[in-house]
Amino acid sequence: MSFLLLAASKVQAQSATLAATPPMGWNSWNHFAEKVTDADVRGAANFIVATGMKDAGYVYVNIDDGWQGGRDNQGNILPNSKFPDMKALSDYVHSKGLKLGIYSSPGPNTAAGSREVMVTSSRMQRCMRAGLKII
Amino acid sequence: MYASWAKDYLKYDLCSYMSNMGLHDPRQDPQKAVAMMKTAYAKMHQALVSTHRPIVYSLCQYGVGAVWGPTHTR
Repeated sequence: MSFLLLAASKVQAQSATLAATPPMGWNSWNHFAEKVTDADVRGAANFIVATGMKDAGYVYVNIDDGWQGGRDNQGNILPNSKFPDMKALSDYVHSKGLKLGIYSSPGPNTAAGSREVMVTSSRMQRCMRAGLKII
Repeated sequence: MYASWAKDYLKYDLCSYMSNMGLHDPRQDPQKAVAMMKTAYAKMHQALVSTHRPIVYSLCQYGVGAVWGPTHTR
């Protein structure tokens, strides 16, 4: 059900247009759920390339719930110890010619119940503005 | 933040926010709940736009408000 909804609800943010084609790839939830690690994601990226899935158009490697580890004093959501360096992971996935996805929620808890990801969207917006400065 | 990590895709999951919306409360006006959902998704949409990085915005919203319907606008 949710997979179908996801496919129907894609919006590319920059130009606020619908994605030209349905984004295709892998999501960590169904197999790893909240236990997903940096190594799992790298492994999935390797597998997608090795099996020819990348060449078939499956280029998204999406981390679902379970990456979060509280907030810094600016309110930015931090990765947990299973994701020691999110930018390095992103660089690795990109080096394979793939794209990396991530997960969040506007609610007080995520589906996996991460209480520390209490999010208000306005705070998230500030996080993202702050993040831009360190690109 | 997501842009600084060079992310290309965000799944934004309604999950527990459905309780905030009063979706399981029979006294809640369904249209009000849907309006709350749209507000939450619109805020994140604006945040993503402000990053100027192309990011696929995936709305995981469990069928609330029938967003696949022909009358829905973003």
